[in-house]
Amino acid sequence: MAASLSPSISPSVSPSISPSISPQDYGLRIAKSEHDITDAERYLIMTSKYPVLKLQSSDEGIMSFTAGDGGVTITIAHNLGYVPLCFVYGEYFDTPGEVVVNKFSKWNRWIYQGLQVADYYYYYADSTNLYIKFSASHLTDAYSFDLDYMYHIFYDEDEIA
Amino acid sequence: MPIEHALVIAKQGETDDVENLTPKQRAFDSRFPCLKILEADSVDAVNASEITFSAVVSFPLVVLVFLYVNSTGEYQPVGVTFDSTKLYLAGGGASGDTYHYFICYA
Repeated sequence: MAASLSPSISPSVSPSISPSISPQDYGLRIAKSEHDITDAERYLIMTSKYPVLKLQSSDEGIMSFTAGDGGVTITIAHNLGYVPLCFVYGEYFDTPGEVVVNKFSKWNRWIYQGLQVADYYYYYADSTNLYIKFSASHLTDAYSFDLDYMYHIFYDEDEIA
Repeated sequence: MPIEHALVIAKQGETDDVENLTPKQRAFDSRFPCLKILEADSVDAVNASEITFSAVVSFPLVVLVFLYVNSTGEYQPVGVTFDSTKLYLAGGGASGDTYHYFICYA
């Protein structure tokens, strides 16, 4: 006599998953050491909720200024086709002390020599290049010196091709 | 070949395959280095401070410093100087003012 087979499986398996997963319900979270991924976002190394800044290029260099030139410009090509986020830091010249200060600061600064005459250190970018510029006051223009600088260029999150 | 693979993480909420996502829809893409915080902390802004980097630092860096002005509750970007070993903060703030600094690699 043949044994009968039961067509049912108990407990039954439901084909549905409840609650359903929506795109907002998942992501990647990496916690800092000694923290849990359920902690606040400031305790995360990374969360896929937000994009990170992505580096296009960075480097160091030396800007050589020659007495009497009035200023100097370093041009760094990025060719992104849009104006990117940039950071530039560099040394500066202490005119009264007649010496380059071997510390870095954000390049957007000006140093007064008296009330109105100033040395300008600044940078800006267009859709093709990053420009790092130094403009000397007539007092500083009497000296020749080298300034170390460093820069970072980041992709614009809206514009990466 | 190495150029043919990379780690791409879709931004949360994106439903398409990562290969179809635009860079803005990607939270991370190993084709590009990202900004990494080496140190982040805050110190009193009343007195001058020299912050010694806790790790060996190589250039180039990104250094961001903000001054919290207690009387207004505002954060102001401030110019500071640094070298390969220290961050130099000028001080001179009022009582309750605080420097918040971020030292980053990219």
